[in-house]
Amino acid sequence: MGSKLSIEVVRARLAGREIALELRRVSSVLTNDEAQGIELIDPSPWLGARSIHKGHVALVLPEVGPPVGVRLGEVRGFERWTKRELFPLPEWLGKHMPEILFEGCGWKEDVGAIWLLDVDRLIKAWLADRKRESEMLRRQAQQKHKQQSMPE
Amino acid sequence: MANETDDPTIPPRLDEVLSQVAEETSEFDWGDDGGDFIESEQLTLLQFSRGNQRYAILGEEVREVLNRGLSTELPGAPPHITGIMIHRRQVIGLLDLDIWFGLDPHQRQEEPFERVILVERETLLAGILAGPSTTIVHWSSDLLDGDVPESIPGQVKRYIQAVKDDDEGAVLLLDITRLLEDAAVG
Repeated sequence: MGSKLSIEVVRARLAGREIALELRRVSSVLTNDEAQGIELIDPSPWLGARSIHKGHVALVLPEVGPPVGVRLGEVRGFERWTKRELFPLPEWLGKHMPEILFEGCGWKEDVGAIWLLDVDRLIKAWLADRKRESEMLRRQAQQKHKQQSMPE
Repeated sequence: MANETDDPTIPPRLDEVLSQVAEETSEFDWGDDGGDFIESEQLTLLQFSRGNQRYAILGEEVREVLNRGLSTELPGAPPHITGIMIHRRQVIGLLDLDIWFGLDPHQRQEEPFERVILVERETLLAGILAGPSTTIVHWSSDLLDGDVPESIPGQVKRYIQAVKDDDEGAVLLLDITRLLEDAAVG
């Protein structure tokens, strides 16, 4: 592979953190209002921040399944990054990273690190969360049903 | 691995580009300023302060001493890993000894001007936050054979190889291997 490799990203500020998403995974960027009716994933909780319900949404095509929206917060713009702007994290630091991020970052002198969202892992983590949540609800419903059907 | 082809219409994958950069930048980019590290056979140490405590690190374990530049908090990291910075195209994780040693937040002092001591053990490289004053000192190797006083708190004692007393109090020689194994690798 040549040394002129570059990637295109959409840069955003989400819950106080600078993030970037590979543009090849994004089919369009929508406003919050335009994203009504789309299944939305908010990466904020995985980044140790509160969920936000405003800003822009990236429409992402998962490897399997229908498109989903990923909340980006405030979009900063679209950029092309060369390898000089990408910094892999050492293994020991990577272990401390949230599962939804690549083990590397972009770096700009005015903002510092820009964390790279891994869409596939984000969707996987989100699906796992939903599964856990529905399992919990199912158990609660079962328990309630048992209590109601117990003779007094 | 469709992107390994030379087809310019297929955009490269971020993970592939990242691993390629990782391979290419596995060593420090020293630029044109040289920066050869001269190893010494002497028991030479770097002494520094953090808050009210003075520490020392074996010279062979110190890669560089830097002024603290722009750093960014690492999402999801434990509190003693205060963030990352970039130096010579390497990502440096920053460790705060006060937090790792469980020092009471009220005892912690904001350093007006911080330095970062880059320490290295085998493949592990990390930055230890230090106060503004760093000096080179020489210790007799006999000090390494002495016992670490009981008065040093347990959570700190585990990481102390030796202690030297002088007019200003105790200087604690850090066991960098153990510190990095516990605080960095976890």
